[in-house]
Amino acid sequence: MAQRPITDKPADPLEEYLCNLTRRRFFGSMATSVGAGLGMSALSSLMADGAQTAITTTEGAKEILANLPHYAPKARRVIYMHMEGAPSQLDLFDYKPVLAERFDEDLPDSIRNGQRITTMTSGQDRFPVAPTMFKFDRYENNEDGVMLSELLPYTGAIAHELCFIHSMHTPSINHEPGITFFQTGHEQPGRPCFGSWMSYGLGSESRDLPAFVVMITQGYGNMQALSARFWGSGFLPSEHQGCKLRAGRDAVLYLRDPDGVSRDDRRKMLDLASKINEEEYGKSLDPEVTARIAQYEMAYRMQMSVPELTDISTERPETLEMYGEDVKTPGTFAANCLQARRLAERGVRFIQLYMRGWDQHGNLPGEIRAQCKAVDQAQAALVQDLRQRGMLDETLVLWAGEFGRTVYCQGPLSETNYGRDHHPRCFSLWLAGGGIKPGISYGKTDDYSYNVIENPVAVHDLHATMQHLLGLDHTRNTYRHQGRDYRLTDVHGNVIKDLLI
Amino acid sequence: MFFLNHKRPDAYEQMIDMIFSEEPYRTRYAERMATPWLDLARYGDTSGIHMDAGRSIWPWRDWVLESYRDNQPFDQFVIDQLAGDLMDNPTQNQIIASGFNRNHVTSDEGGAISDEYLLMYAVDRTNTLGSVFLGLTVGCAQCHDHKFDPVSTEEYYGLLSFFNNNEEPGVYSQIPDPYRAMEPAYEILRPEDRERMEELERYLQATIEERDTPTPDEAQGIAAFAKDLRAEGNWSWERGRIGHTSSSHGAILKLQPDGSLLASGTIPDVDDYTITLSTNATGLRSIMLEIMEDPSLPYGRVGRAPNGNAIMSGISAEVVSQADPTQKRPLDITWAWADVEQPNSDFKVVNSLRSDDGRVWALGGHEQSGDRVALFTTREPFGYEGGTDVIVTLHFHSVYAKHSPGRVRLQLGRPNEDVLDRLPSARTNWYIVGPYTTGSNAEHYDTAYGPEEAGPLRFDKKYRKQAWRYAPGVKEAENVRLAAGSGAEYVGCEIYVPTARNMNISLGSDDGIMVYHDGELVLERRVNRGVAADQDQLELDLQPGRNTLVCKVVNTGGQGGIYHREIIPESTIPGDALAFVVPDDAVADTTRTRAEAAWRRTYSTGYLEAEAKVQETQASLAEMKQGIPKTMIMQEREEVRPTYVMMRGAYDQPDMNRPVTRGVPAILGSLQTDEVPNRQDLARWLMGEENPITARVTVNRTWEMLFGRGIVETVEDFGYQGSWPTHPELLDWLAADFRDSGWDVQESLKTILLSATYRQDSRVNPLNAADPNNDLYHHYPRQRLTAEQIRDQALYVSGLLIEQMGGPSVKPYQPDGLWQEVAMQQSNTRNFERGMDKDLWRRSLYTYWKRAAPPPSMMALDAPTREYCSPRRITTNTPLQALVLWNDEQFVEAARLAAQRIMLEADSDDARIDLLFQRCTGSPPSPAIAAAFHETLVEYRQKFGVDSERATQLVAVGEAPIAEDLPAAELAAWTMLVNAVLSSDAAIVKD
Repeated sequence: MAQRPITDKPADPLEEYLCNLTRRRFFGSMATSVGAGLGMSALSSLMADGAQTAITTTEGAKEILANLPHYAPKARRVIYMHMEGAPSQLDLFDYKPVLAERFDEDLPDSIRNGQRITTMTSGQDRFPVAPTMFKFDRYENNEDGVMLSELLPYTGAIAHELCFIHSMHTPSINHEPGITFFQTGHEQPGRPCFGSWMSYGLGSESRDLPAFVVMITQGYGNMQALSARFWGSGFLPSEHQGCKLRAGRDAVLYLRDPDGVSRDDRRKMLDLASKINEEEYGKSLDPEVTARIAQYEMAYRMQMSVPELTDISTERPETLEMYGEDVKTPGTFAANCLQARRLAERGVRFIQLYMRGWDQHGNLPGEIRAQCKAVDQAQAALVQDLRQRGMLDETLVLWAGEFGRTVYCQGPLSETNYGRDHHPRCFSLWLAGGGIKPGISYGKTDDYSYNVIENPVAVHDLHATMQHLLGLDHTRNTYRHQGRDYRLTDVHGNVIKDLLI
Repeated sequence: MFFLNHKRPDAYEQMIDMIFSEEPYRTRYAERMATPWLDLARYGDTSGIHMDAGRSIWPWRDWVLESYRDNQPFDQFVIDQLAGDLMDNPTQNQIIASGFNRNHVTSDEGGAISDEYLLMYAVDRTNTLGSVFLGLTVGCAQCHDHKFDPVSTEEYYGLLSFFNNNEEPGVYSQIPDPYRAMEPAYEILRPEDRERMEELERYLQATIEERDTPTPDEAQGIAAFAKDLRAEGNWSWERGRIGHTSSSHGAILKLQPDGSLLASGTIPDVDDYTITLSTNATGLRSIMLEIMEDPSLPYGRVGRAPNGNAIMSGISAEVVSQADPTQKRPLDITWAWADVEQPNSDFKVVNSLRSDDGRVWALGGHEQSGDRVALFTTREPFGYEGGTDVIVTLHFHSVYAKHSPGRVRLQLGRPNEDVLDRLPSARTNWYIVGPYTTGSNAEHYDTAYGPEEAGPLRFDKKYRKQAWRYAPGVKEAENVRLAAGSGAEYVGCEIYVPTARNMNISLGSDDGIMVYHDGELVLERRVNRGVAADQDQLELDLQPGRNTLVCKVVNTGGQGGIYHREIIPESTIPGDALAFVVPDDAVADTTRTRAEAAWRRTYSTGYLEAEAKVQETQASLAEMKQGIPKTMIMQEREEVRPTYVMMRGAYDQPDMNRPVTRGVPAILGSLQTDEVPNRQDLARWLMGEENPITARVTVNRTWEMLFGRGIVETVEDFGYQGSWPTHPELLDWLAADFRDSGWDVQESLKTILLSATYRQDSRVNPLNAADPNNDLYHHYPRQRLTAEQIRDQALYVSGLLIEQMGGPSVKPYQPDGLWQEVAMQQSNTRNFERGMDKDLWRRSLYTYWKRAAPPPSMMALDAPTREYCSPRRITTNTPLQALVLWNDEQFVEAARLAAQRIMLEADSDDARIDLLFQRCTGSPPSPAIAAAFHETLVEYRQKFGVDSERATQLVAVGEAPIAEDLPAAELAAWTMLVNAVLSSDAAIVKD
């Protein structure tokens, strides 16, 4: 990819660096530099280049990682659509026809069972049942079919590819701790997020894109806060933090050369900087210098590969049509779904899409309709598109919010308007591809979609299972920090074998 | 350079002494030393969670800077931060220093539970103490004991209990002011400030009193005005007889002796009160609604909601003839006025004239005591000969559950036509739809996007995917900014008047405007202009009741805007003075005062002067208060909050059988006090003879700062799980030396700086084979500069750096939209407003630190997020770092300025290349590098010479002025050369 004519150079600086790296590591002479750039990736270089590099043994990354992957991986990458604000399982996935007859009845104490609730509704003197106002339809899957809300017709049409879990639960009842927990396995800020752990554990397959990319879509309802911590690397080296891909001209921060600077100007500047760097290397023999040369070359390539990535003019009209009208408006969920596929094609390891606006404390029917309209067609198109290109089997797709919503109404209740508070005791999500059993439903909740009554799945279990599919033993993908080996699953997590093909 | 000029053998030592003792070096030294301390203390400028609200604690940061600059002994430095507030007669500085324990993140999330966060804050303080001062990761003991861990859970909570007694709420709520110091807080007043402020406050009281006391003439005028207004034949009132009353949702309405109805029993989420009044009067044309306080209501306020508030979503009425019940008709209510409208959103009383759209009149009962009164008029007179039943229904339907009023009373009024003509118009708030941006400017004028339609504003309707939204920013007689860029935007409201009349409106717009009155185009201006007052005048022919006014503003580019003002006839009764219509026993004192003020404002000149004086005084007081720095501090609760072992570390599972007492883990020693120890005892023990650990941990961090790695590599963990020291005796010796020097930070630094180990070359040498990890320091370990150093260095070599110590944090360049894309709609740090001038070029440690979206260039270069204590930064090497150094506006501007400097200071290419390299890297270029520079320079010169447009664009980056006399092409070429050097290893690595 490098555009520069190499005539007087013995080798591409990148290759030279990788040779050095391997040799140096081989002799174990590495540990002087804490966090030696690329070396911190546990499995391979973050900048994969065909060369499978050896494993570093710095203070953080433990030698045990040298055995990676722990299993033959089913999935090579993850596309994780996070529905921020927590979509209502009752209005989308968790079909409870009996509730229709219990409109405005009080939630039985035996169901709530003294469970804590947020201070937004703890002052209510009644907890009246609010059945969903939406019709559910049966869609074909690999079992007896699955009931889904009328709001999700496109998703229904691909139900045979999806694995629904209705028995998720989480300890958090508010957004900040809830999202933090879902992303990092811990409610308090400070730990690395899922994507960072995967970047650390698996590295990247892309030569010119980061291993972990995040995209954000603004929602149509009550939008909860996001924070850089949700895609932050915590105590892992910062190279594992999510790289935001943004709508508009500057898809990656600082990607664009200043006005007036041409590609060729940048090349010349980079050649000059490389000469200085090479001289520094000659003086110091510090491998960090060669690493820097290689990183700068990658930056130069990214400046070309990212605009190419975000330019969708080469997509076939049928493909664009499949994602829906919004796909041409940058930043929409549809546009980001298409980007997700394009990133997956280019070897990005962990692709995360945030969709804001699911926090429907009041006026739920109106808002959820708008939210579903924005995501339904596009998310189904993404799964289909991956299938059509033969990529679904190696791409693990996750669609989830941070918790569920209450069966009881928050605020005024009518047949066609109601609100729902946060509910951590059960919620629904779906997975697809990447070694997940397609077309099944897993786990059950009680009649009120309040408590899990069969096959509970904790967030840590989900993390363990997804890592398993990526070839990682979640108990061994660890990092030593402050005297302790940390992992995404903390001290918990079981692989849910029933979900695996 | 220093050494070239100082050839004495002790020149190096002299330089160190100079850095410690002379400006500007000692300030720079303090700024260097403070940065790692800010990482440890998790310093930031926002609260971190949910709203991520702005907060003020920079005075603490400045205190740290001053302490380092003045070389405060380290033991004092620590004791002040852990317990400054607990000293006998603490100094202002000691109180500020206690903010160390307040730097943690705090929550303001709506549903959050206070106890959970109070525990989280105490845990954060405890764990930070462990990491910073004890090199101990105590946090593991939060949940349960560990077999090999010397710190038990009981001991953990014993330590935590020192920090579990702060006078603070667990969950804050955001206020609009982003410079709030979250309580407990401290205002930093100089004595002269305090005096001046007290003086101003006294003066303000006096002016207010002067203003609010009517002169005898005024009092007479007011009395006459009120008497006349309520006189028989003008606007008289009668109560009628209460007949049937009901609540639609089961509340009990009990008739009180004063004719009011008091609600009790169930408090439904929504309700409607229907009240029948019988009267023999005719010619009635108004209804008065009083909503009154009652001791039986929450906080004794007007509403039934748990906070004492109430709303009204609608009012309807019908009249039935008592003589002939088949004669009946609904009343058409045309106009409304209320003495109190909750100010924080769209809550005007006119909202209740339509009950179909979810908008309400809110009474603000939770914020303000006192009764409320509202007036309504009808289109036609009512009252049948032979008696009338007036059936009034008040509606309380909204998203605000249980917000029905507690006690209501109705009266019926008989105003004459003349008084009705003099009533002020009642206007809703303004709403906006748009902008509609696709299409040409002409199309924006010509296309009817829909909102201009006739009839009431339709809030339930989408006009090309967009709907009316409340626009609090559109205010009377102000130039209001609308959307930027070419497009059409609709600004609309409803105007209610009791009688037909003409209304004069003065308008301004950016650019053109089309005005619709009930769907009919009444003004059209196709112009290009900036918004200003009174550009167009318009006379509206208003019908009684609702009139809809919609302005379509067509912006042809740049900023859009609108201005509007109603020209009120002199005969109109000023809004607040309407309270005089209300009988004395039905109006609150505060309302009466406002009414008097309104009368005097309109009819008496003396009042205006007095009011101007009050406003002036208020403004100078506000300005003064704004200027007073506030900071967050520790403050003990009077009654000590008991601490228990929390089972599994959970906030809601205290083990009541295991209360803990304050103390330190046994393995570390014990506190010798007779009384219950406090933070001061803990801090003194920490820095005392008995505890050797803090000295070791501290010098180890100093070592790490200088060599990139600690003697114990895990600087935050000296325990079993940490790494073994490479030089244990050295560590002990340095620690003892540090303590015995009286905790002299500079002395300790100097000892290491003077060592041969620090001063040796960084080149790898033949000893490499014997010491491959450089554990024995056979060469100086090269280190990349920190994020802050890299940016500051670029500013320094460019000559842009503003060297000014301390002050509120500043907002230099960053890409657009980063705050918005993560922030909640209501967050007071949602909109990033870039700083001006000097703010762009301060040292990086003064950059505003929004925790949910920290400065992106700092994040790319491995700065921590500052959400928790970070004892160590791990340096990485990524392509995103290259992009920052190449393309960040800050760095491009710095490169251009550095180029300007070099071009002005040296004449030949050779001299300039030498100067450039020397200045950016500290040493001259080798001949090979110099040659490469020449070659590249020639190429750039040629390229930018041919394409001068590009050169002009490049040198225009950034706000710093362009040196006019330098040719753009030449400047652009040199800018690129500087950009190359500043992003090279030679510049960003210390060796």
